[in-house]
Amino acid sequence: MESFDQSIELLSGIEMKRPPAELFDKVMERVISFDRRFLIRIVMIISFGFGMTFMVFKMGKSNQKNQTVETYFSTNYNFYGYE
Amino acid sequence: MVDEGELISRITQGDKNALKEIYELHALKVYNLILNRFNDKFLADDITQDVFLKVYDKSISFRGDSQVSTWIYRIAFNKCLDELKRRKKTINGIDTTFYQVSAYEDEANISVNLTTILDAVDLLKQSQKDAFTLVYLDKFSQQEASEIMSMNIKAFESLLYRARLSLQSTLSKNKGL
Repeated sequence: MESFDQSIELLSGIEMKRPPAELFDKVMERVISFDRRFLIRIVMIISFGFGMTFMVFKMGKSNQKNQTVETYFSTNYNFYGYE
Repeated sequence: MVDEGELISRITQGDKNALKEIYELHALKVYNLILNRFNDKFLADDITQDVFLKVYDKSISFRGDSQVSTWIYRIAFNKCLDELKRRKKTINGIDTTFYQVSAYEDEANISVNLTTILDAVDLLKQSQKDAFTLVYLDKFSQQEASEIMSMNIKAFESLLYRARLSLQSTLSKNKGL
């Protein structure tokens, strides 16, 4: 067992390799592009939210004029009205 | 002494300097942990980048249940497991020429022994190899290694004991140790 332990001790002589000096710059590049993608996603979500709010608001207004959803999108048909 | 918890909370606020400090503290061990498994410098570069990107991304979910260092090494270890799964292969032979042995050792004698030992390590079962590599090549304490492998310390000690027994048996078959 002692001989085995001595053999295992050899592994402690293995030196650690240093990572390349420019590796952190690459990490930073990826962090910056990650941040940018995150920002773009946020902007898209906010724009979508605003767009939907605007549409619902406009639809609400058109309903006040007794206009159905279908007539809002296409003035050709009114499925629910008889006139 | 740097308060790593403080660094993590600064990273959550988007502080890039805090990320640099964390990187400087742990990059060496993370890089070698990956290198000891794949022997591929380019892959080690890529996975190290992934690890620190994940540290940046997930810093908000760090609950402080373990030490920051253990959390980072666990991310690195799991990335290695993912890569192994992706490649559907185990370590492709540990390249002994890759390692630098300290100059004060008797190089001729050691290179023979080191090759034999690393070849024998390569024959261990994956979990035993992971445990053995974490302790003897990556130089983590048994407590740290058990946390990195998300294992109970007793179970880890038992796994490491079995790894040592298998290794000893392989070595004695090869060399009569």
